[in-house]
Parts: sequence; structure tokens; C-alpha cells
Amino acid sequence: MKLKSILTIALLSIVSATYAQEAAEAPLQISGSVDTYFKYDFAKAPNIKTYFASEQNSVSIGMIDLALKKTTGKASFVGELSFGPRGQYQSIPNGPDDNSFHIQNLYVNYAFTDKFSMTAGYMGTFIGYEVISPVANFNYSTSYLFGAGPFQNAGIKGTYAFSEKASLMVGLFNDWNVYQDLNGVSHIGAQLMVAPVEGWSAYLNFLSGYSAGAGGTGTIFDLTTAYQVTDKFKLGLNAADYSVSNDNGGYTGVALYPQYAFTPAVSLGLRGEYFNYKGIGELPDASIAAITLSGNIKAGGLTFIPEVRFDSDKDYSQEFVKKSGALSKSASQFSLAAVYAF
Amino acid sequence: MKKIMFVLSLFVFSLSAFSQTNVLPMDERGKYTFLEVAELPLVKKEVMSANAKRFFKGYSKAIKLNSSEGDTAFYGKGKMVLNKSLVGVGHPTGEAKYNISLELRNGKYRLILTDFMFTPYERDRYGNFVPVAVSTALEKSPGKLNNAEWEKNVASIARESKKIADKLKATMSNTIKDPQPETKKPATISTTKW
Repeated sequence: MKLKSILTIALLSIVSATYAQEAAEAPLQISGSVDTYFKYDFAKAPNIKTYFASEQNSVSIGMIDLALKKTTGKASFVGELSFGPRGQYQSIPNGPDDNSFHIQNLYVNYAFTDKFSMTAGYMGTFIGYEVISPVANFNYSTSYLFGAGPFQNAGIKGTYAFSEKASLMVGLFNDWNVYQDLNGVSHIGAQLMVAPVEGWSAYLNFLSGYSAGAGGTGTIFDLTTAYQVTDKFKLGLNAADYSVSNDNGGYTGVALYPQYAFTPAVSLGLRGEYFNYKGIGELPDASIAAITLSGNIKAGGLTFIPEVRFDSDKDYSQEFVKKSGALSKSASQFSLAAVYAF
Repeated sequence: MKKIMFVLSLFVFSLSAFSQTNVLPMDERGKYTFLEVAELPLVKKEVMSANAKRFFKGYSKAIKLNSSEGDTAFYGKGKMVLNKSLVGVGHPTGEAKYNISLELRNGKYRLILTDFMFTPYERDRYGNFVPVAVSTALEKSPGKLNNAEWEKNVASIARESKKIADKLKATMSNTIKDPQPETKKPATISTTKW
């Protein structure tokens, strides 16, 4: 018994010493999030098909997301895994045997100098305003622009920072959202970042290439910008145009994100979006307008996101239905999500 | 079992005591301020000045000097990164920018870190932590919902300030004007005599 006590004290002393010595260095970064939600469509049907609040009248789960990062000298890696419908079902590809690798990010980075670094691996896309992680989005449901664009881009890229106010990234990438490119590394991409004044950043993105099985070369131009106008008011904008050559369609869209923080813990944000599917061949275009009002109520790591959303689909491209089952030009839903970040 | 519970309680108590000791006082302006006056009677004034310059040179990435008054007062702006970590695992939670002043007198110096502005970090799409666009003065009320996080940040700032102060004290304690950095050679052993 005496020996046990001594061992216990020794073990706890070691843990305490480790805590004291390493608390400031954090050699291995671990972070992540979990999210869960309830969604109710007023027509009692899963009408609005954008990500991720998709399951009707159900308390459903999003994902548990775990990210690891370690830096040693100038080299670092990031590995991010997700488990849950928001991950396997909706935002990451499966392997050839339909097994999920669960990988959202897996890349290595080497900073050759303070200004120039290179990154290779599987990375969250550089295109667009909204992201897969529920922590970094203000609204819980996502825009049509988000759903139509790439989620991840595997590849190799170099980033040069001219100053804190401007940088340029150029890279070679696989097809969108694949761990393995079946027609070879086939895309070229670039991102110009400018931050003209404090609180304002703008990213001009470009990605072009021929995906396996596609009817033509797909090219996307994307502008993502946000300006913290005052301490309380922030305005974001995303505009994108995607075209596939040989008249193989694409999309155009714009979304505006005004957000107002009443207190550090309570904010309200609107997303107004116009989105247009380009018709393939002789088919006509189809457009959608959507407006989403979301609240963010933060308590420590937890954020509650109550949200109402109205979508208008005058061209019936989304096949919204009424309670009766008849086609409808509009859809609306309420959702309440809880997101915990750590 | 009882003994283990007792030792565990002691451990938890010591951890909470560790976190509670990290508090920042406020100055006359109502600003959170870290202040340390250190007596160094054995260090000559000109050596102290050289030590101070060497300290700021070593911290040149985190502290930018704005002005100085001769060789006796240095003023600048600094930035410290705050981490949420336990047993060597965690991640950065934010950064605090502050004003720093170091004033030298015969045989002593005064270090002040104040006007802390806290900027929380958020995780970006690549899994990296980056600052958000809004910074908040540390004195601003965080509200009931975020009070616990704010207290942790204040404690973390106090800890980081103490580290800077300890580093400064170690540098300022040099009694030689331009000490040569020690070249650490690995210990040698003989493999022929035994």
C-alpha cells in the first residue's frame, strides 16, 4: 500500500512538472468541434438541399472534428479528421472501396523563409466564403455557392507574402474533392490576398482544369472578402463564376453577409444570396434567391445558432414541395444548432 | 483508495492554486498592468543599458521599440500569443498586444506592461489558428456568458508577462557589458581509459 501511494505521488508530480514546463509551448496542437442541430421545414419535407442542416424534424448530429498540428522548426503538418454525417456523408469522399478515410485536411508545410512557404497534401479549398467546419461559419445552413464549389483541393502550392497586406499563392491541384486524381494533376490555381486597410481582407481566387470524366475544362473565378466596418458591424461578400467549356454549364452567384454584434456574446447575421445554374447546351438557366437570418449566442466554447431561412426557386430547379406534395416556388425552414469548439 | 483520493485532491488543489496566482492588478487609470521593479545593485548603469538593448534585440520579433530616452528609458509595443494547454497539448487561443516601458535607474529598473488589447484566434479552413478582425481592451466587460474564458485570458496574460519579466531579469543581471554567448560543447568521455 505504501509503495502504491509513493508511486501515485511520483506519477502526479511528474504530471505536474510536465504541465508547468510545457504549458506555454504547446508542441502539439489539438483542436476541434462537435455540432448537433434540429431542423424543421415548414412544408414538412426536406426542401432546402444546401448543406448541412439537412434532416427534417429531427435532432441530428453534424460531426466530431479533430485537428492536429505540429511545428518543428520551419516544418509543420496538419491532420484533420471528421466523424459523422457532416463528414463522411456530406463533405469528404470515400476511398475506392467505399471506406471513408475521414480526412478533411492532411498536409505538410515548409516555411523556407518568413515570406515564402510551400504546402503539399489534401487541403480545405481556398475557394469561397463558407467552410465545412461549423465553427468558422456564422450561419449554420450553407449557401448555394458553398455547395456548388469545391470542398477540398489536394495539391502542391507555394505562397509568397509580399507584406502583411498582400500575398500570392500559386499551385497545382488534383480534381476537386478527391484523394487521388484519376486523370493526373490537372488543375492550376492561384489566390491573391490583399488587406488594404485594417479589418478588411479580400481574396481573389482562380482555379481551372479538366476533371476526369468532365465534358470540358472547368474554370472558377471567386472573390471572397470581409470588412470589419466597426467593432460591431461586419460585412462579407462572396461572388463566383464557374464555367465548363463546350457549353457544359456552371454557375454564377453572389452572397452578402452583414453581421451585427449586440454584445461580445450575442450577434445577428443575415445572408442574402442570388445563385444561377448555367444551362447545359440548349437548356435554360435556373436561378434561386435565398435569405437566411441567424443568431449567434456564445457561452465559452459553445455557440447556439437559431436560424430561419427562406428560399425562392422560380424555375423549380430545387423541386420544392408544399405540404400537399405539389411543387412550390418557395421553401422555408427553422433550425437550431449547437456547436462546441475546443 | 482513500490515500489516492487525498493525493488527487491535493493535485487538483495545487493546479487551481497555480491558476489563481496569475492575476493582474490595475493601475491608477483603471488599466490592467504588470509592473515589476527589480533591484540590481551590482550591475553598473552602462552595463544595465547594454543589457536592456540586448534584451530588446532578443525579443525583436515580439517587441518593437518606438522610442527611447537616452539609455535609461525604452518604450515600445509588444505582442504575446496565449495558449490553452495542458500537459503539452493544446492550441493558441488569442493574442494580446500591449505597451511596454522599461526605465533604468542606478541599481534598479522598472518594467511596465499595460494597455492590453486582446484578439481571439479562430481556426481557419486549413486547421491553423488566425486572429479575428476585432480586438478588445482587456478592461471591457466580457459579459456573464464569457466571463470564465476572459478570466483564463487574464491569467494567461499574467503568466506570459511574468515570463517576459523573468527573461528580462536574467538578461539584466549580467554584470559584464558585452558577455560572449556561451558555446555549449557536448561533454566528452574517454573510451580508451576504463
